[in-house]
Amino acid sequence: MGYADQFAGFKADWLNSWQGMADMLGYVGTALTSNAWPAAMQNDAYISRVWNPEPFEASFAYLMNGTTPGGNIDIGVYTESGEKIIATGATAQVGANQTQFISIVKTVIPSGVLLLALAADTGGVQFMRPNVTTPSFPAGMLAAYGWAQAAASMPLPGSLPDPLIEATASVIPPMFGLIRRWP
Amino acid sequence: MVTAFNEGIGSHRPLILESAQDIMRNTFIRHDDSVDPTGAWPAANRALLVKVRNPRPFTPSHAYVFNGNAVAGNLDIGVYGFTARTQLELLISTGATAQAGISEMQMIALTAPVQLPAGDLVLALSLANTGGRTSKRNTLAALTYYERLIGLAQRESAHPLPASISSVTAPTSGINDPPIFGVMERLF
Repeated sequence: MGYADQFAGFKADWLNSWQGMADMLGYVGTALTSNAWPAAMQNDAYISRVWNPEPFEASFAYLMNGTTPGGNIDIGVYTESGEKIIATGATAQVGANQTQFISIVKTVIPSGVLLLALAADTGGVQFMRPNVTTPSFPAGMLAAYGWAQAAASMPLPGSLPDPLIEATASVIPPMFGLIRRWP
Repeated sequence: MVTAFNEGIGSHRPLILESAQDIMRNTFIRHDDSVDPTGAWPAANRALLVKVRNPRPFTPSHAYVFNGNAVAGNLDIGVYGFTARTQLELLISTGATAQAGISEMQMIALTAPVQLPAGDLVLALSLANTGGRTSKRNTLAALTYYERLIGLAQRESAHPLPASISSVTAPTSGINDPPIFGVMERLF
């Protein structure tokens, strides 16, 4: 039993786009660093497959903004089959170097496999992501750990495009998700 | 949310709730096993609040705090239950107690033990002045982006801990790392 497992409970009321990477690779504990949304992904969306162990009522979406936010973003969650559960809708990305919270209609997020989505309409705006260096982030890793890309998905559509496409290999994706925030 | 492998094999769980448990069990926030004893209390009579999940009822016998490299005045450790999303009722607390023992784990017996229910609870620690220090987990990345994601909050004019709290606020920048404190059912 690991040291951390000696503690009783664990709050289970948020989802994070890097969950799969963190579970498998322990990558996320590194410092965060600011990174640009690729110009080639303007109006596209990052998709991250996550596991939700139990239902919770989400009240906010969030993303970790970098040094120069801008344009509009849309954060949402889909079922495994690509049907939208809830999304923020197009929202201005504001607040440099902080976690931006966007209120959503309180929605019970079901347990199981889900797809988190983040779309942006402006290339070059900055997001935070774990400071993973390129040599330890080989091509194919994003696909292996549940990342994909959805073309022409800003604002986020009711159903994700089928099929999704491979996420841009040279870009390390941002941190975002949903939470039942307190306070 | 991130379910540890051990959770699936019926591992033994000591009965303890701690403010840093989400950090310790959260792969998003890397940490080492050392502690930082230099955490000055940010404001007199402020309570720092940490939402935790209690998986099963238990009756703690002691509260504890990992003191920093200076101690001063009184502290109060307690556990609140939710009556609404940001409304809390005090279930158990030490009451105002002199902070004692530099860089030591100070144990305080709970004189009127109460069974804590399963579910979401809030651990609370308040200090009456800013002279006392507490220790925190030595996280290897700043918690600036995570503080609200891991359930931190605060309340002013909360020493000793009030019987109820009608509202809480987000943690002030600069107190991102929660001090180490909690309640436990001790073996002796």
